[in-house]
Amino acid sequence: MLYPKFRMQRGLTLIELMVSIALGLLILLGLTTIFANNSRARTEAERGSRQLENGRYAMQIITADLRLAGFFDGYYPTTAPAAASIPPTAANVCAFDTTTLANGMSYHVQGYNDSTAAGLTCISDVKSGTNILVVRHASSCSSANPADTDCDSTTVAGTFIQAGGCSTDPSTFKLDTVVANLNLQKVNCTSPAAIRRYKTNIYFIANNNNTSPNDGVPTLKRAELGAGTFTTVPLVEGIENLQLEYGIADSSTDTIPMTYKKAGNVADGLEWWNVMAVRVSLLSKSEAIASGYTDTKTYQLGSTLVAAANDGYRRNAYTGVVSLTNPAGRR
Amino acid sequence: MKRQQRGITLLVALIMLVVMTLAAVMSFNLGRSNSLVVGNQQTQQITTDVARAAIEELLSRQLFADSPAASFGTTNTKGYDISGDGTADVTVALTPQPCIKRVTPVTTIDPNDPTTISCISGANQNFGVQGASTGGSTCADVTWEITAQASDVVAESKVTVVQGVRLRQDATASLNSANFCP
Repeated sequence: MLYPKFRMQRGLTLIELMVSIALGLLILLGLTTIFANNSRARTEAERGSRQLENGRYAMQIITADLRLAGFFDGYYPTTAPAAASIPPTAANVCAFDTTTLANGMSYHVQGYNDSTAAGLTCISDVKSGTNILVVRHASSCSSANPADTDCDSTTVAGTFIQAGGCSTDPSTFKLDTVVANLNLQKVNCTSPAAIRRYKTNIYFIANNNNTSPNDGVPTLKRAELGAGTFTTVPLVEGIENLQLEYGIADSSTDTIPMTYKKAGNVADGLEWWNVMAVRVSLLSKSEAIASGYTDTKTYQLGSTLVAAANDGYRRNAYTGVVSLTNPAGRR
Repeated sequence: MKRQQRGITLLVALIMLVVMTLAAVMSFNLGRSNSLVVGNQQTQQITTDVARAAIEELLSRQLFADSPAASFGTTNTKGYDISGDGTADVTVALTPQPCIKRVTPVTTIDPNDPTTISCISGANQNFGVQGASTGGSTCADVTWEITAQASDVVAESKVTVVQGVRLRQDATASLNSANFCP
Protein backbone atom coordinates (compact mmCIF):
# COMPACT_ATOMS: atom_id res chain seq x y z
CA MET A 1 0.00 0.00 0.00
CA LEU A 2 2.95 2.28 -0.28
CA TYR A 3 2.21 3.60 -3.79
CA PRO A 4 -1.42 2.94 -4.50
CA LYS A 5 -1.63 5.46 -7.29
CA PHE A 6 1.22 3.90 -9.13
CA ARG A 7 -0.45 0.60 -9.18
CA MET A 8 -3.57 2.04 -10.74
CA GLN A 9 -1.56 3.31 -13.69
CA ARG A 10 -1.33 0.40 -16.00
CA GLY A 11 0.18 2.02 -19.09
CA LEU A 12 -1.20 1.64 -22.60
CA THR A 13 -1.84 -1.66 -24.17
CA LEU A 14 -0.57 -2.25 -27.68
CA ILE A 15 -4.13 -2.13 -29.03
CA GLU A 16 -4.75 1.24 -27.46
CA LEU A 17 -1.50 2.59 -28.85
CA MET A 18 -2.26 1.35 -32.36
CA VAL A 19 -5.76 2.79 -32.33
CA SER A 20 -4.46 6.18 -31.19
CA ILE A 21 -1.74 6.17 -33.81
CA ALA A 22 -4.25 5.22 -36.51
CA LEU A 23 -6.63 7.98 -35.45
CA GLY A 24 -3.75 10.49 -35.31
CA LEU A 25 -2.60 9.54 -38.79
CA LEU A 26 -6.14 9.89 -40.11
CA ILE A 27 -6.45 13.40 -38.73
CA LEU A 28 -2.99 14.28 -40.02
CA LEU A 29 -3.88 13.02 -43.49
CA GLY A 30 -7.06 15.07 -43.52
CA LEU A 31 -5.28 18.17 -42.38
CA THR A 32 -2.50 17.78 -44.93
CA THR A 33 -5.02 17.38 -47.75
CA ILE A 34 -6.93 20.46 -46.63
CA PHE A 35 -3.71 22.43 -46.35
CA ALA A 36 -2.48 21.36 -49.76
CA ASN A 37 -5.81 22.24 -51.38
CA ASN A 38 -5.94 25.53 -49.58
CA SER A 39 -2.47 26.55 -50.62
CA ARG A 40 -3.11 25.54 -54.24
CA ALA A 41 -6.35 27.51 -54.25
CA ARG A 42 -4.55 30.50 -52.82
CA THR A 43 -1.84 30.35 -55.47
CA GLU A 44 -4.52 30.08 -58.15
CA ALA A 45 -6.42 33.01 -56.69
CA GLU A 46 -3.30 35.13 -56.58
CA ARG A 47 -2.39 34.22 -60.13
CA GLY A 48 -5.96 34.92 -61.23
CA SER A 49 -6.04 38.31 -59.60
CA ARG A 50 -2.69 39.21 -61.14
CA GLN A 51 -4.02 38.20 -64.53
CA LEU A 52 -7.17 40.30 -64.02
CA GLU A 53 -5.07 43.19 -62.84
CA ASN A 54 -2.80 42.93 -65.88
CA GLY A 55 -5.77 43.08 -68.23
CA ARG A 56 -7.27 46.02 -66.40
CA TYR A 57 -3.97 47.87 -66.37
CA ALA A 58 -3.41 47.31 -70.08
CA MET A 59 -6.91 48.63 -70.83
CA GLN A 60 -6.29 51.63 -68.62
CA ILE A 61 -3.01 52.53 -70.34
CA ILE A 62 -4.43 52.28 -73.84
CA THR A 63 -7.65 54.09 -72.91
CA ALA A 64 -5.79 56.96 -71.27
CA ASP A 65 -3.54 57.36 -74.29
CA LEU A 66 -6.40 57.21 -76.78
CA ARG A 67 -8.24 59.94 -74.89
CA LEU A 68 -5.26 62.19 -75.55
CA ALA A 69 -4.98 61.24 -79.22
CA GLY A 70 -4.86 64.30 -81.44
CA PHE A 71 -4.00 66.71 -78.63
CA PHE A 72 -1.46 69.29 -79.78
CA ASP A 73 -1.93 72.01 -77.17
CA GLY A 74 -3.59 75.03 -78.79
CA TYR A 75 -2.99 73.82 -82.32
CA TYR A 76 -5.42 71.59 -84.14
CA PRO A 77 -5.12 70.27 -87.67
CA THR A 78 -8.13 71.53 -89.62
CA THR A 79 -7.83 69.70 -92.90
CA ALA A 80 -8.00 66.04 -93.68
CA PRO A 81 -4.78 64.56 -94.99
CA ALA A 82 -4.63 63.72 -98.66
CA ALA A 83 -4.84 60.01 -99.31
CA ALA A 84 -1.40 59.99 -100.81
CA SER A 85 0.17 62.05 -98.07
CA ILE A 86 2.49 60.65 -95.50
CA PRO A 87 2.46 58.82 -93.16
CA PRO A 88 0.02 56.04 -93.91
CA THR A 89 2.82 53.93 -95.24
CA ALA A 90 4.47 51.80 -92.64
CA ALA A 91 7.92 53.22 -93.27
CA ASN A 92 6.69 56.67 -92.38
CA VAL A 93 5.21 55.60 -89.08
CA CYS A 94 8.70 54.83 -87.92
CA ALA A 95 10.16 58.01 -89.42
CA PHE A 96 11.10 60.78 -87.05
CA ASP A 97 11.94 63.76 -89.25
CA THR A 98 9.85 66.80 -88.39
CA THR A 99 8.13 66.97 -91.80
CA THR A 100 6.75 63.45 -91.44
CA LEU A 101 5.79 64.08 -87.85
CA ALA A 102 4.01 67.31 -88.78
CA ASN A 103 2.03 65.45 -91.46
CA GLY A 104 1.32 62.75 -88.89
CA MET A 105 -0.59 65.23 -86.75
CA SER A 106 -3.61 64.68 -89.00
CA TYR A 107 -3.45 60.98 -88.19
CA HIS A 108 -4.38 61.00 -84.50
CA VAL A 109 -4.67 57.22 -84.55
CA GLN A 110 -3.54 54.64 -87.03
CA GLY A 111 -3.45 50.90 -87.00
CA TYR A 112 -2.26 47.76 -88.67
CA ASN A 113 -4.09 44.48 -88.83
CA ASP A 114 -1.51 41.91 -89.47
CA SER A 115 1.90 42.27 -88.01
CA THR A 116 3.53 40.53 -90.92
CA ALA A 117 2.09 42.95 -93.46
CA ALA A 118 2.91 46.04 -91.50
CA GLY A 119 6.65 46.01 -92.05
CA LEU A 120 7.24 48.48 -89.27
CA THR A 121 10.95 48.63 -88.83
CA CYS A 122 10.92 50.29 -85.43
CA ILE A 123 9.25 47.39 -83.64
CA SER A 124 10.28 43.76 -83.46
CA ASP A 125 9.17 40.41 -82.09
CA VAL A 126 5.52 41.17 -82.95
CA LYS A 127 3.13 38.32 -82.26
CA SER A 128 1.40 37.27 -85.44
CA GLY A 129 -2.35 37.76 -85.69
CA THR A 130 -2.39 40.70 -83.29
CA ASN A 131 -3.07 44.36 -84.08
CA ILE A 132 -0.80 47.36 -83.85
CA LEU A 133 -2.03 50.74 -82.66
CA VAL A 134 -0.31 54.06 -83.35
CA VAL A 135 -1.37 57.07 -81.24
CA ARG A 136 -0.07 60.59 -81.79
CA HIS A 137 -0.39 63.54 -79.47
CA ALA A 138 1.60 66.12 -77.60
CA SER A 139 2.56 65.35 -74.03
CA SER A 140 -0.13 66.37 -71.56
CA CYS A 141 2.61 67.69 -69.36
CA SER A 142 4.49 70.85 -70.13
CA SER A 143 7.80 71.81 -68.61
CA ALA A 144 6.55 75.41 -68.42
CA ASN A 145 3.93 74.37 -65.90
CA PRO A 146 5.49 74.25 -62.42
CA ALA A 147 2.79 71.81 -61.28
CA ASP A 148 4.09 69.17 -63.69
CA THR A 149 7.04 68.01 -61.67
CA ASP A 150 7.24 64.57 -63.23
CA CYS A 151 7.59 66.01 -66.71
CA ASP A 152 10.48 65.05 -68.95
CA SER A 153 12.76 68.03 -69.12
CA THR A 154 13.24 69.66 -72.51
CA THR A 155 16.95 68.99 -72.05
CA VAL A 156 16.18 65.32 -72.77
CA ALA A 157 16.46 65.14 -76.55
CA GLY A 158 13.36 64.48 -78.60
CA THR A 159 10.89 66.25 -80.84
CA PHE A 160 8.98 69.16 -79.38
CA ILE A 161 5.88 71.01 -80.37
CA GLN A 162 4.91 74.55 -79.52
CA ALA A 163 1.48 75.98 -80.25
CA GLY A 164 1.55 79.75 -80.43
CA GLY A 165 -1.24 82.00 -79.22
CA CYS A 166 -0.08 85.38 -80.55
CA SER A 167 -2.19 86.35 -83.56
CA THR A 168 0.67 88.29 -85.16
CA ASP A 169 2.96 85.23 -85.19
CA PRO A 170 3.22 83.93 -88.73
CA SER A 171 2.82 80.27 -87.78
CA THR A 172 0.40 78.66 -85.39
CA PHE A 173 2.72 75.87 -84.37
CA LYS A 174 6.33 74.84 -84.58
CA LEU A 175 7.78 71.38 -84.49
CA ASP A 176 11.48 71.02 -83.87
CA THR A 177 14.11 68.92 -82.19
CA VAL A 178 16.01 72.03 -81.18
CA VAL A 179 14.27 73.74 -78.28
CA ALA A 180 15.93 77.09 -79.04
CA ASN A 181 14.12 77.23 -82.40
CA LEU A 182 10.75 77.20 -80.69
CA ASN A 183 10.11 80.92 -80.30
CA LEU A 184 6.33 81.31 -80.52
CA GLN A 185 4.53 83.55 -78.07
CA LYS A 186 1.50 83.13 -75.87
CA VAL A 187 -1.73 85.03 -76.53
CA ASN A 188 -0.29 88.09 -74.76
CA CYS A 189 2.47 88.16 -77.43
CA THR A 190 5.16 88.69 -74.79
CA SER A 191 5.92 85.45 -72.97
CA PRO A 192 7.00 82.23 -74.69
CA ALA A 193 4.36 79.57 -75.30
CA ALA A 194 4.55 76.19 -73.58
CA ILE A 195 6.79 73.57 -75.14
CA ARG A 196 5.54 70.02 -75.16
CA ARG A 197 7.05 66.73 -76.21
CA TYR A 198 5.63 65.25 -79.41
CA LYS A 199 4.62 61.67 -78.80
CA THR A 200 4.18 58.80 -81.18
CA ASN A 201 3.22 55.69 -79.24
CA ILE A 202 3.09 52.37 -81.05
CA TYR A 203 1.32 49.64 -79.07
CA PHE A 204 1.85 46.04 -80.02
CA ILE A 205 1.97 42.53 -78.58
CA ALA A 206 5.42 41.01 -78.44
CA ASN A 207 6.12 37.28 -78.24
CA ASN A 208 8.50 37.73 -75.36
CA ASN A 209 8.76 40.05 -72.42
CA ASN A 210 12.50 39.61 -72.25
CA THR A 211 14.22 38.71 -75.51
CA SER A 212 17.60 37.67 -74.18
CA PRO A 213 16.90 34.83 -73.83
CA ASN A 214 13.32 34.58 -75.07
CA ASP A 215 11.04 33.93 -72.12
CA GLY A 216 7.89 33.22 -74.14
CA VAL A 217 5.67 35.54 -72.10
CA PRO A 218 3.42 37.53 -74.46
CA THR A 219 3.68 41.17 -73.45
CA LEU A 220 2.03 44.44 -74.36
CA LYS A 221 4.82 46.76 -75.43
CA ARG A 222 5.00 50.34 -76.55
CA ALA A 223 7.52 51.88 -78.93
CA GLU A 224 8.00 55.51 -77.98
CA LEU A 225 9.39 58.24 -80.18
CA GLY A 226 12.68 59.45 -78.81
CA ALA A 227 15.60 61.38 -80.22
CA GLY A 228 16.07 59.95 -83.71
CA THR A 229 14.94 56.52 -82.61
CA PHE A 230 12.07 54.53 -81.20
CA THR A 231 12.51 52.95 -77.78
CA THR A 232 10.46 49.86 -76.97
CA VAL A 233 9.16 49.67 -73.42
CA PRO A 234 7.44 46.54 -72.05
CA LEU A 235 4.21 47.61 -70.36
CA VAL A 236 2.12 44.65 -69.24
CA GLU A 237 3.12 40.99 -69.30
CA GLY A 238 0.64 38.24 -70.02
CA ILE A 239 -1.32 40.19 -72.64
CA GLU A 240 -1.74 37.69 -75.42
CA ASN A 241 -3.87 39.44 -77.98
CA LEU A 242 -4.85 42.97 -78.98
CA GLN A 243 -7.62 43.59 -81.48
CA LEU A 244 -8.77 47.02 -82.58
CA GLU A 245 -11.65 48.40 -84.55
CA TYR A 246 -11.99 51.98 -85.62
CA GLY A 247 -15.29 53.84 -85.45
CA ILE A 248 -15.52 56.02 -88.52
CA ALA A 249 -17.80 59.00 -88.99
CA ASP A 250 -19.57 59.40 -92.32
CA SER A 251 -18.14 62.79 -93.20
CA SER A 252 -15.51 65.20 -91.98
CA THR A 253 -18.20 67.29 -90.26
CA ASP A 254 -19.78 64.33 -88.52
CA THR A 255 -18.73 63.12 -85.09
CA ILE A 256 -20.74 59.92 -84.68
CA PRO A 257 -18.87 56.71 -85.47
CA MET A 258 -21.18 54.96 -87.93
CA THR A 259 -19.15 51.93 -88.94
CA TYR A 260 -16.49 49.99 -87.12
CA LYS A 261 -13.72 48.67 -89.32
CA LYS A 262 -10.54 46.72 -88.84
CA ALA A 263 -7.39 48.65 -89.73
CA GLY A 264 -6.95 46.87 -93.06
CA ASN A 265 -10.31 48.16 -94.29
CA VAL A 266 -9.78 51.77 -93.29
CA ALA A 267 -8.85 53.81 -96.34
CA ASP A 268 -5.81 56.04 -96.11
CA GLY A 269 -6.37 59.73 -95.68
CA LEU A 270 -9.93 60.81 -95.03
CA GLU A 271 -11.09 57.67 -93.26
CA TRP A 272 -8.34 57.78 -90.65
CA TRP A 273 -9.14 61.47 -90.22
CA ASN A 274 -12.74 60.48 -89.50
CA VAL A 275 -11.92 57.93 -86.80
CA MET A 276 -13.95 59.11 -83.82
CA ALA A 277 -13.80 56.08 -81.56
CA VAL A 278 -11.70 52.98 -81.09
CA ARG A 279 -12.93 49.63 -79.85
CA VAL A 280 -10.13 47.99 -77.90
CA SER A 281 -10.19 44.26 -77.14
CA LEU A 282 -7.57 42.48 -75.10
CA LEU A 283 -6.90 38.93 -74.01
CA SER A 284 -4.90 38.40 -70.85
CA LYS A 285 -3.34 35.07 -69.97
CA SER A 286 -2.26 33.61 -66.63
CA GLU A 287 1.46 33.39 -66.00
CA ALA A 288 1.52 29.64 -65.37
CA ILE A 289 -0.48 26.54 -66.23
CA ALA A 290 -3.31 25.77 -63.83
CA SER A 291 -3.21 22.06 -62.97
CA GLY A 292 -6.19 20.09 -64.15
CA TYR A 293 -7.53 22.94 -66.28
CA THR A 294 -7.98 23.06 -70.03
CA ASP A 295 -9.01 26.28 -71.70
CA THR A 296 -11.57 25.15 -74.24
CA LYS A 297 -13.22 28.54 -74.61
CA THR A 298 -13.21 30.69 -77.70
CA TYR A 299 -12.90 34.41 -77.17
CA GLN A 300 -14.70 37.15 -79.07
CA LEU A 301 -12.41 40.14 -79.41
CA GLY A 302 -14.51 42.66 -81.30
CA SER A 303 -15.22 41.02 -84.63
CA THR A 304 -12.28 38.65 -84.28
CA LEU A 305 -12.93 35.18 -82.91
CA VAL A 306 -9.95 33.68 -81.12
CA ALA A 307 -10.02 29.90 -81.32
CA ALA A 308 -9.73 27.80 -78.17
CA ALA A 309 -6.10 27.28 -77.24
CA ASN A 310 -6.80 23.96 -75.44
CA ASP A 311 -3.93 24.49 -73.06
CA GLY A 312 -3.72 24.86 -69.31
CA TYR A 313 -3.64 28.65 -69.15
CA ARG A 314 -6.55 30.67 -67.88
CA ARG A 315 -7.61 33.67 -69.94
CA ASN A 316 -9.73 36.79 -69.62
CA ALA A 317 -11.09 38.93 -72.43
CA TYR A 318 -11.58 42.69 -72.12
CA THR A 319 -13.43 44.99 -74.48
CA GLY A 320 -14.04 48.71 -74.32
CA VAL A 321 -14.90 51.57 -76.64
CA VAL A 322 -12.94 54.79 -76.26
CA SER A 323 -14.28 57.97 -77.78
CA LEU A 324 -11.62 60.26 -79.15
CA THR A 325 -12.51 63.58 -77.55
CA ASN A 326 -9.91 65.71 -79.27
CA PRO A 327 -10.68 65.05 -82.93
CA ALA A 328 -14.43 64.69 -82.30
CA GLY A 329 -14.70 67.84 -80.21
CA ARG A 330 -13.28 70.00 -82.99
CA ARG A 331 -16.02 69.27 -85.45
CA MET B 1 3.11 12.21 -10.70
CA LYS B 2 1.91 12.72 -14.17
CA ARG B 3 2.31 10.40 -17.06
CA GLN B 4 4.42 11.67 -19.95
CA GLN B 5 2.36 12.77 -22.97
CA ARG B 6 3.06 10.52 -25.92
CA GLY B 7 1.89 11.27 -29.53
CA ILE B 8 2.38 14.56 -31.26
CA THR B 9 -1.03 14.59 -32.91
CA LEU B 10 -2.26 17.56 -30.91
CA LEU B 11 0.87 19.53 -31.66
CA VAL B 12 0.72 18.82 -35.39
CA ALA B 13 -2.97 19.63 -35.48
CA LEU B 14 -2.29 22.95 -33.78
CA ILE B 15 0.50 23.83 -36.22
CA MET B 16 -1.73 22.93 -39.14
CA LEU B 17 -4.48 25.10 -37.69
CA VAL B 18 -2.14 28.07 -37.48
CA VAL B 19 -0.89 27.55 -41.03
CA MET B 20 -4.42 27.26 -42.37
CA THR B 21 -5.47 30.40 -40.52
CA LEU B 22 -2.55 32.24 -42.10
CA ALA B 23 -3.56 30.97 -45.54
CA ALA B 24 -7.13 32.08 -44.94
CA VAL B 25 -6.04 35.53 -43.81
CA MET B 26 -3.80 35.87 -46.85
CA SER B 27 -6.51 34.93 -49.30
CA PHE B 28 -8.86 37.34 -47.52
CA ASN B 29 -6.29 40.10 -47.92
CA LEU B 30 -5.89 39.21 -51.58
CA GLY B 31 -9.60 39.51 -52.17
CA ARG B 32 -9.75 42.72 -50.22
CA SER B 33 -6.89 44.36 -52.12
CA ASN B 34 -8.56 43.25 -55.34
CA SER B 35 -11.81 44.94 -54.39
CA LEU B 36 -9.85 48.01 -53.32
CA VAL B 37 -8.23 48.19 -56.73
CA VAL B 38 -11.58 47.87 -58.47
CA GLY B 39 -13.10 50.44 -56.14
CA ASN B 40 -10.32 52.90 -56.85
CA GLN B 41 -10.68 52.37 -60.54
CA GLN B 42 -14.41 52.97 -60.27
CA THR B 43 -14.06 56.26 -58.41
CA GLN B 44 -11.39 57.38 -60.84
CA GLN B 45 -13.66 56.59 -63.75
CA ILE B 46 -16.59 58.40 -62.13
CA THR B 47 -14.45 61.44 -61.37
CA THR B 48 -13.18 61.57 -64.95
CA ASP B 49 -16.69 61.29 -66.34
CA VAL B 50 -17.99 64.00 -64.02
CA ALA B 51 -15.17 66.33 -65.07
CA ARG B 52 -16.04 65.77 -68.72
CA ALA B 53 -19.74 66.20 -68.02
CA ALA B 54 -19.02 69.49 -66.29
CA ILE B 55 -17.10 70.72 -69.31
CA GLU B 56 -19.94 69.72 -71.62
CA GLU B 57 -22.38 71.57 -69.38
CA LEU B 58 -20.18 74.65 -69.38
CA LEU B 59 -19.79 74.61 -73.15
CA SER B 60 -23.53 74.33 -73.67
CA ARG B 61 -24.11 77.49 -71.63
CA GLN B 62 -21.21 79.55 -73.00
CA LEU B 63 -21.37 81.83 -69.96
CA PHE B 64 -17.62 81.55 -69.57
CA ALA B 65 -16.99 83.84 -72.54
CA ASP B 66 -18.63 86.77 -70.72
CA SER B 67 -17.63 86.11 -67.14
CA PRO B 68 -14.90 83.49 -66.88
CA ALA B 69 -14.54 84.02 -63.13
CA ALA B 70 -18.15 83.08 -62.38
CA SER B 71 -19.23 80.93 -65.25
CA PHE B 72 -20.04 77.82 -63.29
CA GLY B 73 -22.15 78.19 -60.20
CA THR B 74 -21.13 81.28 -58.27
CA THR B 75 -17.48 80.54 -57.62
CA ASN B 76 -16.70 78.32 -60.59
CA THR B 77 -17.33 75.23 -58.47
CA LYS B 78 -20.20 72.84 -58.56
CA GLY B 79 -21.07 69.62 -56.75
CA TYR B 80 -22.40 66.56 -58.52
CA ASP B 81 -24.52 63.96 -56.80
CA ILE B 82 -23.75 60.54 -58.24
CA SER B 83 -25.24 58.24 -55.61
CA GLY B 84 -28.57 60.07 -55.51
CA ASP B 85 -28.57 60.66 -51.76
CA GLY B 86 -28.94 64.42 -52.05
CA THR B 87 -25.36 65.31 -51.13
CA ALA B 88 -22.62 66.08 -53.62
CA ASP B 89 -20.15 63.23 -54.15
CA VAL B 90 -17.87 64.88 -56.67
CA THR B 91 -16.93 68.55 -56.71
CA VAL B 92 -15.79 70.18 -59.91
CA ALA B 93 -13.78 73.37 -59.74
CA LEU B 94 -12.78 75.41 -62.78
CA THR B 95 -9.30 76.31 -61.60
CA PRO B 96 -7.58 78.01 -63.24
CA GLN B 97 -10.63 79.78 -64.65
CA PRO B 98 -11.37 79.54 -68.39
CA CYS B 99 -8.84 81.64 -70.26
CA ILE B 100 -8.04 82.65 -73.81
CA LYS B 101 -5.31 80.73 -75.64
CA ARG B 102 -5.50 82.41 -79.00
CA VAL B 103 -7.41 85.17 -80.77
CA THR B 104 -7.72 85.09 -84.53
CA PRO B 105 -9.55 88.07 -86.02
CA VAL B 106 -12.09 87.07 -88.65
CA THR B 107 -10.98 88.73 -91.85
CA THR B 108 -12.85 86.78 -94.47
CA ILE B 109 -16.44 87.91 -94.36
CA ASP B 110 -18.99 86.32 -96.61
CA PRO B 111 -22.40 88.02 -96.47
CA ASN B 112 -24.00 84.76 -97.52
CA ASP B 113 -22.39 82.82 -94.70
CA PRO B 114 -24.63 82.76 -91.61
CA THR B 115 -21.61 82.38 -89.35
CA THR B 116 -20.00 85.60 -90.55
CA ILE B 117 -23.00 87.75 -91.43
CA SER B 118 -23.29 89.02 -87.86
CA CYS B 119 -19.71 90.23 -88.02
CA ILE B 120 -20.78 92.89 -90.47
CA SER B 121 -21.67 96.16 -88.84
CA GLY B 122 -21.47 99.88 -89.32
CA ALA B 123 -24.51 102.05 -89.84
CA ASN B 124 -22.73 104.56 -92.02
CA GLN B 125 -21.51 102.05 -94.54
CA ASN B 126 -23.35 100.78 -97.52
CA PHE B 127 -21.48 97.58 -97.12
CA GLY B 128 -18.32 96.86 -95.30
CA VAL B 129 -16.58 95.44 -92.39
CA GLN B 130 -15.45 97.53 -89.50
CA GLY B 131 -11.69 97.67 -89.52
CA ALA B 132 -11.53 95.71 -92.72
CA SER B 133 -8.84 97.96 -94.07
CA THR B 134 -6.55 96.92 -91.24
CA GLY B 135 -7.41 93.28 -91.61
CA GLY B 136 -9.77 93.21 -88.66
CA SER B 137 -13.49 92.88 -88.05
CA THR B 138 -15.87 92.94 -85.15
CA CYS B 139 -15.47 89.22 -84.81
CA ALA B 140 -12.66 87.04 -83.68
CA ASP B 141 -12.22 83.30 -83.42
CA VAL B 142 -11.21 82.82 -79.83
CA THR B 143 -9.70 79.62 -78.51
CA TRP B 144 -10.57 79.15 -74.87
CA GLU B 145 -8.88 76.74 -72.53
CA ILE B 146 -11.12 75.20 -69.90
CA THR B 147 -9.65 73.36 -66.95
CA ALA B 148 -11.95 71.24 -64.82
CA GLN B 149 -10.62 69.76 -61.61
CA ALA B 150 -12.91 67.10 -60.26
CA SER B 151 -12.35 65.58 -56.84
CA ASP B 152 -14.30 62.82 -55.20
CA VAL B 153 -15.43 63.95 -51.75
CA VAL B 154 -15.20 60.51 -50.13
CA ALA B 155 -12.50 58.64 -52.02
CA GLU B 156 -10.48 61.80 -52.67
CA SER B 157 -9.61 60.78 -56.19
CA LYS B 158 -8.67 63.78 -58.29
CA VAL B 159 -8.86 64.25 -62.04
CA THR B 160 -7.97 67.29 -64.09
CA VAL B 161 -9.38 67.56 -67.59
CA VAL B 162 -8.30 70.34 -69.91
CA GLN B 163 -10.33 71.05 -73.00
CA GLY B 164 -10.23 73.75 -75.62
CA VAL B 165 -13.11 75.35 -77.42
CA ARG B 166 -13.19 77.86 -80.22
CA LEU B 167 -15.85 80.53 -80.15
CA ARG B 168 -16.63 83.23 -82.66
CA GLN B 169 -17.22 86.25 -80.48
CA ASP B 170 -16.99 89.99 -80.29
CA ALA B 171 -13.44 91.08 -81.08
CA THR B 172 -13.24 93.90 -78.55
CA ALA B 173 -14.45 91.74 -75.68
CA SER B 174 -12.12 88.95 -76.63
CA LEU B 175 -9.15 91.26 -76.42
CA ASN B 176 -9.65 91.76 -72.71
CA SER B 177 -6.17 90.76 -71.60
CA ALA B 178 -7.45 89.89 -68.12
CA ASN B 179 -8.89 86.77 -69.70
CA PHE B 180 -5.66 85.70 -71.38
CA CYS B 181 -4.06 82.51 -70.23
CA PRO B 182 -1.13 83.26 -67.98
